[in-house]
Amino acid sequence: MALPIARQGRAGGRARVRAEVRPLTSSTPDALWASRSVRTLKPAAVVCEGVTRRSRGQHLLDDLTLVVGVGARLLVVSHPEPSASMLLRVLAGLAGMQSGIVRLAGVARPDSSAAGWARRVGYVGPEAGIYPWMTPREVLELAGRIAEYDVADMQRRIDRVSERYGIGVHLDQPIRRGGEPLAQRVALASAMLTEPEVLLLDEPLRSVDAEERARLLTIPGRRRTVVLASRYPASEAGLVNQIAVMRDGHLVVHTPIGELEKRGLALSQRGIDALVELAAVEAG
Amino acid sequence: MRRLRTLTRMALHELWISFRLIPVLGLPMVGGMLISAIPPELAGETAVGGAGFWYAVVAAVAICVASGLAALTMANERRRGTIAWMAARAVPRSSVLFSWFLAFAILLGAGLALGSVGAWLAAISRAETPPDALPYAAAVAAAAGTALAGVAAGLLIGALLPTVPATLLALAVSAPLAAAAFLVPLSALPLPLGGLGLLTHLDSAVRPVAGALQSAGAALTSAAVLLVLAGAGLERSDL
Repeated sequence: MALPIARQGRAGGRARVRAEVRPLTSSTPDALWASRSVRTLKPAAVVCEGVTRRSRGQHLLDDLTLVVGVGARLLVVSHPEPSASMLLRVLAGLAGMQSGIVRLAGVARPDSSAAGWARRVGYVGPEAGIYPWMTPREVLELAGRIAEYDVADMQRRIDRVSERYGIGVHLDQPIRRGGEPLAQRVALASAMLTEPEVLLLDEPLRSVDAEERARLLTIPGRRRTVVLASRYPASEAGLVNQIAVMRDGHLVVHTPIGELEKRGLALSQRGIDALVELAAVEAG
Repeated sequence: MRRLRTLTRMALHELWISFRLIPVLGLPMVGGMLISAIPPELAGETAVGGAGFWYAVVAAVAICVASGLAALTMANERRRGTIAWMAARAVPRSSVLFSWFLAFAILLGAGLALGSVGAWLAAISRAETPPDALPYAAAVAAAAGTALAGVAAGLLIGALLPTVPATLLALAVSAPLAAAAFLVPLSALPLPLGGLGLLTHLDSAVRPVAGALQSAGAALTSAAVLLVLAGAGLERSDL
């Protein structure tokens, strides 16, 4: 049985398999979405071309090319494990790259315009990155001020995310009282405050219990693209619809998640390894 | 500008909550107040010269501590992801760096100013004739310039190294430089350290006000260069 996914050559002796997502356009205004042709073109929200990044003599990203369509929920799994995290940090502009091009939501690099990066791209890392003495309201107001919302709009957004992420009762208490789980919820809520077009999640909400984590990471928005890096793929079941597997900095598989199910494989490290082997065999 | 104000306020709050505000603000302030307890004869100087000398010691210690704390702070902010939180929202890294510089500058400036008043009060209570305040004030201002350069150096080191090495290196760099103000003759001191040197040798300085202005200018230029380097270092570092 052949993989119903496009094959695009080899990289480092391994087959490179990708989903059919065309890198045609990026951030698309609402009005354009009414156009049937735009929907047919499957615009890309995340584009990486030839991205290379070495760290301590190790190739974490090696001439990596990855295109993620608008609305995708992509799980990135890698060996070595820091590669996936590094990819997200490169995408978020937090880590540099030796070569390559990156575009997110049509923006090449962080800009300080009000309607630019701050509103269109969200990132949540493994560390909440929030001062524990701040209250969730202060964090959300800071995020709103950085994105330059007016007071009424900011308040409406704060009410919405604080309800969705269950931080309403803690809104005016220092985050340290709620510990790491609250800090991570607030980090996600502050990223979602701007309703970003692209949301990058690097091992998020690890301190939150599994059931609640799955609820919180069910990100709303059909046109919102989510890229999730995880070391525990089994814990992301139901949250993603595509998977990208990297080996030694190369993209070896990028396929709809349904491909695992079709082959009777589980969304687990073992299932992903089996899929990579199958893809390599089928690529000849 | 509004963003910088917000960031600086947050930096000040973080310094307050983490007790780092106490040494930065309190050390020069309390040190200056305590100078009245030290007889000027111990430094072998006149009343004003003695106050200047002992206040130079206080300022030198404060500069070393502030430099170490600046390095610790910047390295710590990188490690725990607070700068990443800002950078992910397209806040320029240089804005975050400058807000920390401003926070340290405000506290250290206020501490040095208040402490210098304490030292001056000790001097005039001992002097037989009313002394001229201008040379002393100019030397304190120049020493404040040196302090800003020390903070900028600390931020530069903190932008490049992990927490513990950054703190130790900042202390290792600033301590000998501060000590040089006491061990090296005024004429041989590098200009950015001239403020501390003038305070130390206030009695023997030939043109203290002109020297202080020159020294303050050189110290502020050094601080600016170090901040630009720190900004470039932070821009290139992984968050």
